[in-house]
Amino acid sequence: MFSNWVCAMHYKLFILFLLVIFSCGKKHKLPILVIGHGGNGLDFSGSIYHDNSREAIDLALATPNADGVELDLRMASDGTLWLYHDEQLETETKSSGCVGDKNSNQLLDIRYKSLNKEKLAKLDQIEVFFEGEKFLFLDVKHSNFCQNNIQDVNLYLASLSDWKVKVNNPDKRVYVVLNNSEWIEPFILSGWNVLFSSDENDLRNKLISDFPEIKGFVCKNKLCTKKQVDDLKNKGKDIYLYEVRSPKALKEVREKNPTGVMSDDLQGSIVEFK
Amino acid sequence: MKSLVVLFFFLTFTLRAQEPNTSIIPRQYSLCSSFQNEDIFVSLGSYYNFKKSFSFEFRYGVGVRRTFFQQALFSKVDAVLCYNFLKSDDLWSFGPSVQFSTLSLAPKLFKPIQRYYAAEIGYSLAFGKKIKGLQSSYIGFRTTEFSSASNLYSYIGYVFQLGLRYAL
Repeated sequence: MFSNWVCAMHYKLFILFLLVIFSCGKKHKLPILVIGHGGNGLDFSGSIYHDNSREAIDLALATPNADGVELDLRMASDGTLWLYHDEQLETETKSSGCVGDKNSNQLLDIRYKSLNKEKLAKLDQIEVFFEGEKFLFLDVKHSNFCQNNIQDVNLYLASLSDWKVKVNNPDKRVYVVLNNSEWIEPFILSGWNVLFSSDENDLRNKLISDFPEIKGFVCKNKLCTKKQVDDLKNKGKDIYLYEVRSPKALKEVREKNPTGVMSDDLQGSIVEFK
Repeated sequence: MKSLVVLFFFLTFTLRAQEPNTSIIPRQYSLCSSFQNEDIFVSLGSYYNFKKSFSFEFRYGVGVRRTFFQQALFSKVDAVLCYNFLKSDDLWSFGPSVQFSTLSLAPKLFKPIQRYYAAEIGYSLAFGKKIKGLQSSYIGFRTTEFSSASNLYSYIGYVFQLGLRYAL
């Protein structure tokens, strides 16, 4: 009796399988830039490599229809620029302390705790495979958590300018994402495309009036409404949403239709928008 | 990928066509969910015992996130070989196993944009009589490639599986 039921179930499951296959629908393409957050995604189980590692950046830039990557920038004590998201090294690596307190030699051999044990990446390494077709967003981390201070903006700008001349990329496709409003002016004066990271609508409007040259903003998906996205676009400013991991969040982004999405699920975003 | 899917259903249906009492291989069917790097997969499989302690399983699955939530077919075919060196009166079995998988993401039917290949080792545990509970875990090497480029990207992958198997 039960065997017969299983046999019947077997064919039903086969029909279900066919339904699943043929239910694969085609979505409308949207002009949303798909940017890999931290390379191939941050804090996302589907990310193959650790965020901000050379492997993650390489994979993200090779992914068809991915428009670029967003990377987290930290300055070491000798002025070299490294890609690392967190405040402290111990959270993601076997080392301890802060990037800002270490020099290049000390950072060179540090590896992430992840399964693949990727090495900490230096910004200089990106020029090797960044060929100018894709967008690059550099999230400038301005503070040193261990010293509880703000780093020297002029030293930061000098290090970035040294890197910029080495990279074969039109200026239009390299953006800096700032988190400190006092750094906006020096970066704009140095010719950088500046985005500011803020979830507060009032602050964004104030910054637009103070710095009309600002290119746009970066905002958490949950904290940015469709109306705010539309307002910013109407003012001629770019708006990029981040913290996008789940299929639900991808659908929310589709509804809001921002300039771009800094997605943790890069593959999912490409499936959804491209 | 297409041929593997056809092979899966060919094996499943031809072996099912035999009478249970005359069949040379005991047939069992499994329903499994796999948690792995790329997605959460639900799979259907055919399971065969041979040479007392060895078993072979062939599974076909789809990724929940991509297939059900995003309507992009993310399919997976697994071939699993297990040596059940510990077992007790068909009530439970445990042993090392190897799993070979191929995954394919195809937003348009049979036009994959990304493929994955995996070779993994782990263990497999089954418990129960007619309906068995399954648990297995694997770790191993994977590679992925895009249809539009020839570069291969290698990484270490993991799989954690839970499921049920029914013996006819």
